[in-house]
Amino acid sequence: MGISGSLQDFSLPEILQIIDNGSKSGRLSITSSLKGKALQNQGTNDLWFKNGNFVALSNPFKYNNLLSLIKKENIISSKNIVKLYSLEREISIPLGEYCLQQSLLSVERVNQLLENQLKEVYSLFELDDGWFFFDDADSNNQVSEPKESFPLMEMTGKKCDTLTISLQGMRSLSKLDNRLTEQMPEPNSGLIKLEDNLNCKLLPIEACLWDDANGKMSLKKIAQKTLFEIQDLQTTALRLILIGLLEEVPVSREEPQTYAAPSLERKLALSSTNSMVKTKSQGKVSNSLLGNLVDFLRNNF
Amino acid sequence: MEAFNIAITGNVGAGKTSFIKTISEIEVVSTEKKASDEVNQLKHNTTVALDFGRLTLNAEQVLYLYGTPGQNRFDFMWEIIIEKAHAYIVLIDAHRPQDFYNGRRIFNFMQSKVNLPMIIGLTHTDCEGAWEADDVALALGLKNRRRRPPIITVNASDSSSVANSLICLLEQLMMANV
Ligand SMILES: Nc1nc2c(ncn2[C@@H]2O[C@H](COP(=O)(O)OP(=O)(O)OP(=O)(O)O)[C@@H](O)[C@H]2O)c(=O)[nH]1
Ligand SMILES: [Mg+2]
Repeated sequence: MGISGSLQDFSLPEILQIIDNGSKSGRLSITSSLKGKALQNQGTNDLWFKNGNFVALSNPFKYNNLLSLIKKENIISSKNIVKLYSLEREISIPLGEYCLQQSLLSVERVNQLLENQLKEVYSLFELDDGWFFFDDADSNNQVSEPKESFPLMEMTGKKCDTLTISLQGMRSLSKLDNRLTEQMPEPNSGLIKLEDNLNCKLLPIEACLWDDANGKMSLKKIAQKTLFEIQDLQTTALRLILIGLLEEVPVSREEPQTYAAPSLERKLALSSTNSMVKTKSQGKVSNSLLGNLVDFLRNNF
Repeated sequence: MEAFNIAITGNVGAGKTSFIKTISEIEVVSTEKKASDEVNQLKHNTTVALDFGRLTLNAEQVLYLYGTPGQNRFDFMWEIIIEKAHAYIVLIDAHRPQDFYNGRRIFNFMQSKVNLPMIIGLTHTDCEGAWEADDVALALGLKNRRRRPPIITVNASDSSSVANSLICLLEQLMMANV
């Protein structure tokens, strides 16, 4: 079983978060819809992951993408390039690793190749319409044999942390689509951290938000404190929320301005909930009640 | 009278009102109104204030169920309800991945406010396109299988299913009580 759906419902950073959180291995196919705007992303792109890390980008309609990138660099003789092309059937390690072994490329060059692949991945964040399908290698026998199914010819042998990809992809977004902007945190909201430690490097504005993500300081206050514009803080916060690093929370009930004035209907509802205060709320419920309730539920339903 | 308060929270249309109606001995006092714009495409009635249900065990003990309003944005009612609760359930509609993000938000809100026994109830698992529990958990940001709250399947309109999910929640409470 895998997961699939529309990019209108579920955005790329959300999908990557699942792959990252679950340390998943497999192939994520991203297919742009015909209405899609980003022309260079037409068709299907396959992102490959091992244990939650990105390892390759392939395109079923563009063979030898990585080799074309290598060729463009003009550092390998055409004779050797021809040799590399003929490897396809027999290669048993990632192409980048093979080139390293044969001293055809330096480590820096191979790292650069991964960077170039990632640039193509970042451009996929622009897609606001299309489909995704994740073929989970751990629960599907078809891709469980990495040697056979992972596209060795498209692999540098290097990997990239998925959270870093999400962060970078979101930063490079030229424009947030409507579904994302609907989630924009409000100036009166605060933030809390969803991760204890961070392995990726933050930009200054991101670091400011991260440092004050204690559930107590509103974005407005952070803006006053740091001189960053509130709009920039909001969009940056949204970015960090979408990739699963932060969450928006109302600052606290003691600051009434964070809530819209309650309507009459709500006030009525509120007064009915006040009866709860008189009950033994917040204290512990007795074991006798719990036991009686379990019996009641077992016997009556 | 000893009262036991359970909060039922979760996404719009996840089944909060149905859950309480299914098990309550009284007519559920919910303030439903015709859903507006966005919610309307999803369902006809949405809860605007709160749902309230009751189950009397005996002369001394009673269970109250409080359902939060179907709002995606923060609602001051969430805080009021959760602060009075002894335990809570977050209902997530398994076949609407577009709502997982809001589910995550509700879950994290509750976690930031209270430290209470809780479970996650997956509804609509019988519907087409429903996600598996493990993947929903990851979408909610729960990565550690061993440290995450129990995730159970529940059909909010089926009384034995609702009763089972309550028993699962009670087991959490009993564990916390020892
Ligand atoms: N197929 C199916 N339908 C369900 C399930 N659980 C609830 N429903 C249906 O889902 C619909 C929405 O349920 P409600 O109880 O109104 O949801 P709610 O969470 O109170 O909605 P809001 O108040 O708008 O947030 C109802 O028609 C229920 O009968 C389930 O497990 N499977
Ligand atoms: Mg309702």
